[in-house]
Amino acid sequence: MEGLLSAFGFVLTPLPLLLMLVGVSAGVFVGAIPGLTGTMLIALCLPLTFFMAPETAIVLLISIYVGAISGGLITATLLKMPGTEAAIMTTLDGFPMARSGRPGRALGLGIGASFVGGVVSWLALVVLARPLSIWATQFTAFNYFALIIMALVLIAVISQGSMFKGILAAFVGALLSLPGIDASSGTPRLTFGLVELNGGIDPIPMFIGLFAVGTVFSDMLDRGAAAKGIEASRKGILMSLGDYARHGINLLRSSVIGTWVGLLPGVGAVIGSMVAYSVAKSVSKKPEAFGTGSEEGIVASESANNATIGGAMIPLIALGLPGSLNNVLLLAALLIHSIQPGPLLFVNNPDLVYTLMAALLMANVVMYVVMVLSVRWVSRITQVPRAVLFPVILVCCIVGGFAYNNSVADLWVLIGFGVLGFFMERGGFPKGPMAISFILIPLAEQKLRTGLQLSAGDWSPLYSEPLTVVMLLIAVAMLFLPFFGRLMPRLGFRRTPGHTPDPSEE
Amino acid sequence: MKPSVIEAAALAIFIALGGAGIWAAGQIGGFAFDPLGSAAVPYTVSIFVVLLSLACLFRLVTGRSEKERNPETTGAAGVETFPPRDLLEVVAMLGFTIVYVIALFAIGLPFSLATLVFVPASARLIARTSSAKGMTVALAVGAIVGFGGELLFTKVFFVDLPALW
Repeated sequence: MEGLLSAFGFVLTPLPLLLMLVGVSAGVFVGAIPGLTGTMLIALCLPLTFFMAPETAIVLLISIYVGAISGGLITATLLKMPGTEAAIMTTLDGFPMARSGRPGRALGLGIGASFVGGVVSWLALVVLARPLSIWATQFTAFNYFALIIMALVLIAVISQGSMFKGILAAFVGALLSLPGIDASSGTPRLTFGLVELNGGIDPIPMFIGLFAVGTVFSDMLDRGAAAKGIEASRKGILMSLGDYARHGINLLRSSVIGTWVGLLPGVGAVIGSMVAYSVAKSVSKKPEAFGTGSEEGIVASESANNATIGGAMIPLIALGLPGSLNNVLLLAALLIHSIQPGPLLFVNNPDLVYTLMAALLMANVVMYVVMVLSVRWVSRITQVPRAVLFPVILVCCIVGGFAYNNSVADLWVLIGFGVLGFFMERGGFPKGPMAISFILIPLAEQKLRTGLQLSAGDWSPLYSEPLTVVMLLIAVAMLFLPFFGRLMPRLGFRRTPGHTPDPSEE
Repeated sequence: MKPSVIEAAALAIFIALGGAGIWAAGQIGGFAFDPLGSAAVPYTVSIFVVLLSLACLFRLVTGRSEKERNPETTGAAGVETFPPRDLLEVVAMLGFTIVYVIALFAIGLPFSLATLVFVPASARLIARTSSAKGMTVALAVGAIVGFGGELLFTKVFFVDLPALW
């Protein structure tokens, strides 16, 4: 508790507050522009964090993360174009409500719900992270290996698009993580005789290329006409206490769902808001109002998608497992400063953990203020022509990629991954499993190697340690469940005729 | 042009990567005190990359891949085609970016001047028009990013970019 209070003391000093304001504002801005994502902005800011203390860097990145998830709400409501995937469900009710003459009310509900979601998930983070990390210190090397494999399988299987492509992307990420000197034997592997590869592929130029350059190239192919927006209004932008009381149960339930979904690796804000929206609809007294401008729908979607942020932080801090793309980038920022998240983070870097927690709560407060004050401007800024925006982003990528090591070789890596990112995005290959696997596979290999060395080469703990077995079985089940799902109807297990599934539930 | 062409190109890249991985893993020597060895993981991962790429290629050829194409990257219709000209523009943009990097770090053109040329030229390519208003805006943005960025990056962050002053 004392550590958390002193972290709040640090976060409330001028520099972190300024960074928070800049980070949240920039996050809201990119989150509001369809095509640009918080992931892209965080990747671009990674080299910048090299010049900062780890605590300051984490304040900036968390603020961008919170701002970007929240910013999608604005264009989802006013333009019917979710700026981020997380705001997809908000579009269903936000836009109809805005079109019916209540844009301020729609935005106000979304902003208020986002704030509550953030606070609830923050509470979960504060309460759960430490016990989970203490429990995780008892993990054996094989337990840890199985946990990483389970998380990777989950991420690859449930990522968007084809499961095959998700798994392939995860394996490609694993392959790209392997070049370099093997820490155990000192042997160069997959370096092809290139001295530059002895240190492995640097994640910073790789991520900037993959997520920023690749996205710019890919977005160049989207030449859709600009949507005609609804003018934003401040009328009803602040939720009253009565609103909070009326939507209290929905807010709490959706925030808990969002936090829980965020805990699961790879599931993320989209699924969180979908599940919360579906549950809110199923328990609502007026389910027919959903999709036509329902207040409950906006509240459920927005509280859940923001709650996934705090939820996803729990495994990142306690286990060192990034559950989402943004978390991978946060992990990369910590690794730049030689800080390894995981069970020992509370022991080795308690200040950093508490700063992260304090920054998450304060970023939600700043997000609330920034969104309420800037909603009209942001809705106009989103109409910045892409012809100007894209070259500027590319310039920032080049400078960011170079600044990290002052190395021109990094720029060729960056451009190479930009091309790969373009092919992956347009070919329907999810980049998330690739990035997460790139970070986690070396850790999995290290844990397996340690386990084998401790057991004198005995592989039996993989099938005799109960926790390891359970986690590996879950991984196998996740891998084969979709095949069984397809096989069941062929074997005669068919759905009851006449049952029409709700599209939003799917 | 259909996205399947891009998907096939991505798979070709993955197969090449996996193939190179298998070859390179074969060159790794043994290590007496390590039960796992240095080659096991690269070998296994590379083989899986090649096998899964071939499986995806099979699904692409048989049309299964089209059905489950990611709607987030291809639009709600499921399959989004685009004219080859658009792809050529992406290639041109890639060329501009490479030239920009060469101009900065091989020729040593100051960041401000290189950016002053890069931003309007790229904007002209993306916008497909050369309206006076659009070009003025692009030139102004190029000047702000170029000169402002040079000042910020070289004098504040001490990034070793070629500078005018």
